[in-house]
Amino acid sequence: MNKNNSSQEKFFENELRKIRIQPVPEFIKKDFSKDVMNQIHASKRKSFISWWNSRPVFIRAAAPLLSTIVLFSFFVVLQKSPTNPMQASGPTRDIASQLDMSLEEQLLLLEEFDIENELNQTF
Amino acid sequence: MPYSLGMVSEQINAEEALVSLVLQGNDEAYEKIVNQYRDKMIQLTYVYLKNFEDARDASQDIFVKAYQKIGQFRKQSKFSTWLYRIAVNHCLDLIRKNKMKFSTNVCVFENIATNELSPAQNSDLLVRDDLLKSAVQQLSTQQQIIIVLRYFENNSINEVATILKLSVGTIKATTSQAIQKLKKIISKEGVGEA
Repeated sequence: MNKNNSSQEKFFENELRKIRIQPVPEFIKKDFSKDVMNQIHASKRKSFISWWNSRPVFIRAAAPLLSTIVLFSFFVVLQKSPTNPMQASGPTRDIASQLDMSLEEQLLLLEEFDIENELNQTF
Repeated sequence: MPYSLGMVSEQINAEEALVSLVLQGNDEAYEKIVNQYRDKMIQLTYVYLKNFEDARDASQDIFVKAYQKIGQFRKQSKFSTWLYRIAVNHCLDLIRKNKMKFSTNVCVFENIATNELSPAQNSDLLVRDDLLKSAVQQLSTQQQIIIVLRYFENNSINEVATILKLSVGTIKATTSQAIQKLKKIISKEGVGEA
């Protein structure tokens, strides 16, 4: 009896293995993965926005001001930087040229600086 | 199509490689996974939702959800097991939230007529398959899902238990009950073999 039951179960199991689900129609498959990827990208953007919205109000309110301060300080530092040609301590000729001097005055100034440098080096 | 063990392990390795790429932020790899599972996912959700449009929308949501949770995939099971688990939960959620009323008349299964058989043999097969198909249709959705996961998707009992979050014993018992019910239905409708 048991043997008969198990053989019948085996028979049904084999029959069930042949079962197929209705094939997916073509219009359902169309652009499927593209749509999924678009939804993923949209959800990434959304998750950044919701992360930002979940920040405290004072941070969100202060953000534009903070970014302006940071940007302003950056430019100030840049202006004062030794690599800035406007502030370079390099050749005196550059400084002299900025002082709106005539060529002779500039040469005079250069000489003075050279003498001063020499004196400094000697003593 | 018959599967060899080598083919299956090759497929698992390729899948693992794709998952690793996705974890590194490669979206193209995920698109490949989506294409690989598209049909099976739509068919699985179709068994629950009995409508291809709903099945398509649900499948897309499932893939988005899986992408967002892929960091939680511990590689303790097959990727497909993990993915189907999300799918089953999503479908059950949809049914619960929307209180969907599904038409039980929709036949989610299809006949399998074989071209290699003679017309007479084929017609016999069709009659038998039709009977089996209508019998399976009369099973509960849970029993149908177990049959689909076990026999159509070729999962082991353990894998079906993991996907449905049920014990192995429950899966065995439900399968056995489903088969008894099928026997009863088929013998009532008169088929010699049962």
